[in-house]
Amino acid sequence: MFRSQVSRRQFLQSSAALMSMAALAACAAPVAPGTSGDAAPAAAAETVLFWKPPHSAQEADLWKPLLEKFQTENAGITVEHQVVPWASVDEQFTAAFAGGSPPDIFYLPDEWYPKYVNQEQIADITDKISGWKDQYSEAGWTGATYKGSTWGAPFLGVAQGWVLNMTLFNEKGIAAPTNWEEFRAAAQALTDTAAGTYGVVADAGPTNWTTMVPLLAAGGTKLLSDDLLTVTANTEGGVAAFETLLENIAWNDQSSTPVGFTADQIRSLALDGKIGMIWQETSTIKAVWRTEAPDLELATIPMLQLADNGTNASWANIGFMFMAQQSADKDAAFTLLEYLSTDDMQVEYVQKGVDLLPLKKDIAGLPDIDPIVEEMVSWLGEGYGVGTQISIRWRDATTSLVQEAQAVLSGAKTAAQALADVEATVGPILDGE
Amino acid sequence: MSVTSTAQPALRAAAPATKPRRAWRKMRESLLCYLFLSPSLIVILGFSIVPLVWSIYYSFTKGGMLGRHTFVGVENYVKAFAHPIFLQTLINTTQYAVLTVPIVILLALLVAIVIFQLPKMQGFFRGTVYFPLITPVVIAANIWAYIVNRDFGPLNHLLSMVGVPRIDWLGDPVWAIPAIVMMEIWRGFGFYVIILFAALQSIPKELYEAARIDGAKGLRIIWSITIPLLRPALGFCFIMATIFNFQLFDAVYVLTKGGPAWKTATVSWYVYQQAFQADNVGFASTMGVVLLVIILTLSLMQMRFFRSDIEY
Repeated sequence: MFRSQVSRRQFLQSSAALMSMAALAACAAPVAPGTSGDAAPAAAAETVLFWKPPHSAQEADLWKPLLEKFQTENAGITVEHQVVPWASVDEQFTAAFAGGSPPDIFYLPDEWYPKYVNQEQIADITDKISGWKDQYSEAGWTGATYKGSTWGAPFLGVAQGWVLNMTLFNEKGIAAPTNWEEFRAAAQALTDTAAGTYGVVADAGPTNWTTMVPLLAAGGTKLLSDDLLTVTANTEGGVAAFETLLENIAWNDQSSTPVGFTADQIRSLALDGKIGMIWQETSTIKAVWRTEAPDLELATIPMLQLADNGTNASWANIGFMFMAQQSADKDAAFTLLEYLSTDDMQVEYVQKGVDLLPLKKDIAGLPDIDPIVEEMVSWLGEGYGVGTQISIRWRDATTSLVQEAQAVLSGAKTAAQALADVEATVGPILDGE
Repeated sequence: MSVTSTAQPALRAAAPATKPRRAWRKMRESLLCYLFLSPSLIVILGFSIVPLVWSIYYSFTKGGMLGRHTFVGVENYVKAFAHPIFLQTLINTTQYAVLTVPIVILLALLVAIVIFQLPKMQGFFRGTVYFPLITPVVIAANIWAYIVNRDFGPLNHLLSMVGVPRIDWLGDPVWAIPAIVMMEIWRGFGFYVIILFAALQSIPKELYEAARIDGAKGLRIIWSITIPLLRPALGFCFIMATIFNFQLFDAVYVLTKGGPAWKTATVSWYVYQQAFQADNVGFASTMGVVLLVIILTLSLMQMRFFRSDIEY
C-alpha cells in the first residue's frame, strides 16, 4: 500500500510557505515601461497602446479599418486599441498613469487634460508639432495650449444647440422661437403633463454645464475670468439668463421635464416626440434622431441672445490626441499621432464616422451633411461658439454650476442666490494657475 | 496506579531537556500560524494600513493624485471646517445615518422575529429579504429611480390614491435624501435580518418557557428576554449600519451625483469627486480622515453602549 513520504505537518508548512511567496509575488510592483525607451524590450517597443472614449456606439468597429491601414503603412508597429467608457475615464487613466503602464496615445477633451498636464503625464509636444499650427482652426490650436506649451494635436470639435421637434410645434401651430419671449411662450404651449409632453428640457444632468455656459454667454458673461482668478458668472446678465430659463420657464412655469427624470427617460420621451426643445450635440442627429425617430421633423436654434452685451451661443468644445510622458517608444507613438492628425482621419472618422467637426482648416463639409448639423456648424463661423476655459479648476467650477443650476430648477434657490453661491464656492480655489 | 507513580520521577528528570524543545515547537507553531495568515495580512497591509497612513500624510499636503505634494500643515483641516460644501456633505451624511440606522434595525428586528415565529418556510423568507442586497447597486438604483419617478413611478401612484400630490423624489432637495434613505433601507435590511435571526436562534428556549410559566406574554417576553439577549447582535448591527451609512457612496453616485444643489452629496461622494475629478487629493484625504475620526468615535461610543455584561 502506498504511504506518503510527506507528513501532514510538512505539507501544511510547505503550503503556508508557498502561499506567502505567491502573495508576496502578487504584491510586487509591476515593472513600469520606464521613461527611457532604451530600457524597454524590443517587442513592446513596437506596440502602441491607443485609448479613446467613444463618440459612437460602434466606436471599435469604426477604428478597426483605420488602424489596420496604419499598421499596413507602418509595418512593425502594432496598435492596441481600447475604448474607455466616459464614466470611468478618471479612474482608468489615473490607475494607468500611477501603475506606469499608460496608453501611448490617447484622446481627451479640453476639460480633462489640464489635470494630467499638472500630473506630468502628458508629453509636451510643442517642438514636434509647432509646424502644424497653420493647418488648424485658431480655436482648436488655442485649446491645445496650456501653461505656454502645446500638449496635443486638435482632433475633433463638438457643437451643441437646441433641437426643436417641429412635428410638435406644428401640431400646436407654433413657429420656432427667435427670442426669449417666444421661447417661453412656446415652452408653455408645448407642455401638457396630462399628455406627457414637455416644452423644454432645462437639463439637470451632471454635464449640464454644456447648456449653462452658453446660457451665461447669452447673458453676456463667462463662468470664469480670462485670467482664471475670479468667477464672473454672477453678473446682472448671468443672473438674468439663469432667471429666464431656470427660474421662470422651468420652475415657475413648470414647462420643463422634472429635475428627477433620468437621462434615459428624457431620451425616450424626446425620441417619442414628447419634448419640444432639447439641447443636443451634432453627433446625435444622424446616429440617434434620424435613426430612431426618422419621422420627426427637426429644426435647430442656438441659445438666444438675452442681454445687450450677450450673444447667440452654442456649446463648442474640442478634443485632442495626446502622447503619454511615460510612453515606452515615443517615436512609434508619434508616428501614430501623425497618422491620427491626417486629413484622411478628419474625414473618415470625425466627419463620416461620428458627425463631429474637423479642426483642420482645409477640410470641406461633406456633401450629404445633415441640414441640422450644417446649421449648428455654421454658428461657429458666426462666433457663437463658447466652450471650456482651459484650467485645472474648470471641472470644480462646472460641478458647482451644475449643482446650483439644479437648485434653481428645483425651486430651492433663486438665480441670484445660486450664482452667488457658485462665486462663494469656486472663487477661493482659483489662483490663476 | 503503580505505573503512574513510578514514571513521575523520570518525567521530572527529563523536564530541563524538553523545555527548549517545547519552546522551539511553540515558536514553530506560531510561525506556521503567521505563515498561514500572511496572505491576508499582506492584503490588509497593502490595501488598508498603507493607504490609511498615506491618506493621513496626504491630508497635510497639497497636490494631485500623481506628481508632487507640498506640505501645508493643518491648512486643509482649517479649510475643511470652513468649506460650505464639505459642511453640507457632513450634514447630509449625518441625516442619512440618523434616518436610516434606527429604521433599518427596527424593521430588521421585526422581520427577524416574524420569520423566527414561522413554523415553515423560514429559509425562503430569509432568502427573499436578503435578495435586494445581492442585486448589483446599478440595477437596484435604476429600479429605484423608476419606483420613485415623479410621473410614472408606482410610489407616487400609490400616494395619489390617498390624495398626496406628485413628488419629484430625486429632483426635490427636500425629498431626495428620504428617497435614497428608502432605497438604502430596502437594500440593506436583509443583512441585519440574517444577523438578528441567527442571534434569535441562539436564545435558549427554556427562558421563553420559564417566562410563559411565570405568566409573561407577547411583547413582555420580547422586551424582557429577546431584546436583552439580542443586545450584542443589536450592537453589532447598529455599529455596522452606522459605518455603512456614513460611508454611503454608490446610491448617490448612481442616482443623483450629489444633486440637486448638493443636497444628497455625502462625504464619501465628495471625497471621490475631489480626489478623482478635481485632482485635489490633499483636501480629499483631509475629508476622508475627518470621516474616519467621526466613524471611529461613533463606533467606540456604540460599542460602549452595547457592551453586555449580562450572562444567562
